[in-house]
Amino acid sequence: MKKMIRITFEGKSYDVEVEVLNGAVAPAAVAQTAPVAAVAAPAVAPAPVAPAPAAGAGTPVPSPMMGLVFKMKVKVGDTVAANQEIVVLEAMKMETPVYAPVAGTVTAINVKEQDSVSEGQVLLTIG
Amino acid sequence: MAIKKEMLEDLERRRQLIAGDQSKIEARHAKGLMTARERIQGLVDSGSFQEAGAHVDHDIRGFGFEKKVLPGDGVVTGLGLVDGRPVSVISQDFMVSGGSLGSRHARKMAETMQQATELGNPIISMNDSGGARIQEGVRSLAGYGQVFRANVLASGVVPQIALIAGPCAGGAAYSPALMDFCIQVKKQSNMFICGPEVIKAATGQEAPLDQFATAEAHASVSGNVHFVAENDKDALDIIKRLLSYLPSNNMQDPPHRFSEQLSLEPDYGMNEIVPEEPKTPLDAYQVIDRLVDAGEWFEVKKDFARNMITGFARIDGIVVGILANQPKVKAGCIDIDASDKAAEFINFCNAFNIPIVTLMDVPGFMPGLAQERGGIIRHGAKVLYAYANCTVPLVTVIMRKAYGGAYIAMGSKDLCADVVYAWPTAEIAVMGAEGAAKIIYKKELASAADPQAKFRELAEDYRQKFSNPYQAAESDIITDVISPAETRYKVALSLRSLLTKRVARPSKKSGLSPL
Repeated sequence: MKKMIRITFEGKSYDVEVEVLNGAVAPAAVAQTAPVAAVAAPAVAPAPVAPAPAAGAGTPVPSPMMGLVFKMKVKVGDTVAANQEIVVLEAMKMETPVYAPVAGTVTAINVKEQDSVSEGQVLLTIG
Repeated sequence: MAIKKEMLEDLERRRQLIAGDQSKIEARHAKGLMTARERIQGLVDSGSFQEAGAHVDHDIRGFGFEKKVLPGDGVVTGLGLVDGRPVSVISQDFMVSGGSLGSRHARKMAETMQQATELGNPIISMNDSGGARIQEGVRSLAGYGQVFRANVLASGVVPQIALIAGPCAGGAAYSPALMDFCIQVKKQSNMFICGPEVIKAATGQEAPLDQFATAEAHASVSGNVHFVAENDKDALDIIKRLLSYLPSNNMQDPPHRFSEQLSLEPDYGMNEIVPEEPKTPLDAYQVIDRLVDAGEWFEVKKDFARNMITGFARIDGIVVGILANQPKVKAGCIDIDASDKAAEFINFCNAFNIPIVTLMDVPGFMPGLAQERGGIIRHGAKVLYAYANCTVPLVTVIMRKAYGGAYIAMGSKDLCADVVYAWPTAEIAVMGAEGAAKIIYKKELASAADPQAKFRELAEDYRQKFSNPYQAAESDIITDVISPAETRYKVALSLRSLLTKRVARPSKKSGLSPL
């Protein structure tokens, strides 16, 4: 059984088609994500992409440059101070320290030592 | 027989009108803002301001403005002294029609700058304006043209300093952009070409001001701003500090304060800050701190491209511009932003007779697809052009890494420098030992019984040969090898000897720096 439902998120409404399967609700393959207003007037902003609010929510720490993860100096659950050295990268014959942008607790670590990372890749998250 | 009393009273009444409405002044104070006049008074030596054009009024035809007066047409201009040295000052008055730029307002600005160029005075332009005065239409736009032209004609003749103390939107932002230094005040100011509404209408993007228009955004992301000020008072202090390192014009030397005796004492502390392990980054700020006279370091564009440090300093009293690779950020690589930052700073120093000291620790230009696609070739070329174009004294210290094209770019002897010192820790080479061994010994490695062991042996062999300054010294591409402890006095001595440097080059209409 298919149903249309309307979701309002941050002031914008989205019409979504859902299908009921054996009592469980799963999203249909085609979901009309653009709000009606956006189709009518291209000047309206597209729907904002909300970050996944799951484990690891908090401040992501991106890699400042490409390189190898040389040392991971924290583990999940560690408390860190702002500007504490948390990761050391190795690139261009040099070790590059990465500092915590904020104080908090490490909620997720996405890389391990010797991984290669690109600029902007999220190394870990501080919640 | 005396002048009619009424005439003096009339003059006084007019002066009161020009001074501004007390309630408007108080409203600004309540917001923590200075008025246009207070900014000038806060900058120049007490009593030294000589105003020009105070009685200028608007040129709006119609719109009910026939009987309205816009004192000074919304801008205060004139001459003053800062630390006893003459400057030309422009200060837009937000209390008068939102500081909007009318044709006479623009004319006052342009005239002030033209006069500054003739007198050899630094130009200080304080921006606080809602933009073009719409009631004057295209005449207002024409005014911007006059202002920009005056900026360009003053360029390289006198230092130009812009303060962004309020709104600075649209075309107005191009006057500060044409000037040499831009100071933006936190919270109270914004600078942009298109504001959030226009961006949204044209592209659909949400663009909050704090992402692109504030002092912090310009200082760290766009690189349009050189200094961030906490408030008006702080901004004026930054301007005064900046002026203390600059000559008034391109015919003068910067304000050196020669010490009577030049200390030849080694500074053994400098040896201590060099990490033993080549991969451990050196903190370039610690080197600068030991190299310059106490309290004489004034960093420029501190928050932008932090892998390239730029700033003014005094070394044994001699004003210098310092460029340093910062190995702690992005391994000290030269990327697009670092290239632009370095080239701009070198060009300024060269234009205003400020010797340059370069502290080199550079592993290379930044690798990456985004860098290549973004034009690291043409951006990096600006650094080469700026250095090689210099006629000011150039002293370079190779602290550690000096690899490949980035080594040549960063003030090498063959490109430009008068004196190049290298520390014993200097690694002057085409590329790293591992990479070089792989290329040079490709065949040997392929046929070796134990390629890994052979590779380590050959890489070590290459490192022994090149990861030191002595091969470069043998080849006469550096001046001398010195210990870190000797650096301060060696650099100071070199600067003293180089101040008489004169370079004659063939005349040309204009060099063509890559852009």
